[in-house]
Amino acid sequence: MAGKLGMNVDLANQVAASISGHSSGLGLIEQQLYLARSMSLNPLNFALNPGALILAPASITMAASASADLANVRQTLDYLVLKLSQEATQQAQVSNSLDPTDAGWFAPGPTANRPDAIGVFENEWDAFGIFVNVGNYVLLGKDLLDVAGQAITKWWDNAPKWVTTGADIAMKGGKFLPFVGTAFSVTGVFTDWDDDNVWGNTRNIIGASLDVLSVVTLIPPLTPAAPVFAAAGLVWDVVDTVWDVFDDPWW
Amino acid sequence: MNLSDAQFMAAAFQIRATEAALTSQLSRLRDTQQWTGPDAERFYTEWETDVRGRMLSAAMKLEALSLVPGL
Repeated sequence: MAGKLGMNVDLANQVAASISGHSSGLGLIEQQLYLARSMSLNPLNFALNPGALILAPASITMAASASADLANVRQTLDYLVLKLSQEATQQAQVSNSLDPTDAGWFAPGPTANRPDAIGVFENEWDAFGIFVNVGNYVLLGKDLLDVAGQAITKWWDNAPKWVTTGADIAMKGGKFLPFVGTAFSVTGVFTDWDDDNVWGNTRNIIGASLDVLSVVTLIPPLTPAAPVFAAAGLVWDVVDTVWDVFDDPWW
Repeated sequence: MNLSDAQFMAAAFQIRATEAALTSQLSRLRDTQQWTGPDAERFYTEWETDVRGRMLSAAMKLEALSLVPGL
């Protein structure tokens, strides 16, 4: 028998090649959508691209959904291309095997399997890229600090004598700063006393108390508590300042 | 890279053009009647639902996207 049966392999290959080419074009659009979402969801990316337009909130989910559509289309196209090529090859082999000297009867059937659908959020891991990126920036920052630390250490080792001496004196003097600061804080309670502002007086007393505690706890074995009171005192100072501004914008 | 509404519209247009081109290719294959039977039907059905439908859906979504201007 001279005739061929089944699909024309050349035509099938042409179709398969065309599908593959178009699939890569869809991949570029998917990348555009990724950029749009990445810019819209990650303030750091946005900050690095001044003037960039970002997606409206309702559009972010829609962009994710469109992206998932395209991802599904592309993986399905890959599968269909493979299936088409395998089918054409098998049919060609079976057709050839009509020649009794050809062993094409053993031509394997198509093995391509339909891929599982990609869900919106499955494809959308990059929507949470902000966390990944923040993590990357933290690691980058850590590396930069390491490098900066090494540079500072190197500089300090070779620093002029007057710099190291000055720093030693400052550090020795610095030990007394909490006592000086506490003295000012306690004095402030009395100098800022206002009979018409009970809550203001109370805030000052709380601040001064925390300062006193941060100094008193420097005495062993209370020492571990000192940083806690010092930190609490700092936080309280910030709160107190904000409260003052809130009470009196001209403060 | 600054994205714009025009780019999304262009992308949607490109998806629709791709869909039309691929549908034409598949029609060409189908019209030859060289491949028939359940496997061929499954192939064309998967094309319709998993590819063509999703492409048109993606194009519509892209056309509906809006950006926040003036930040």
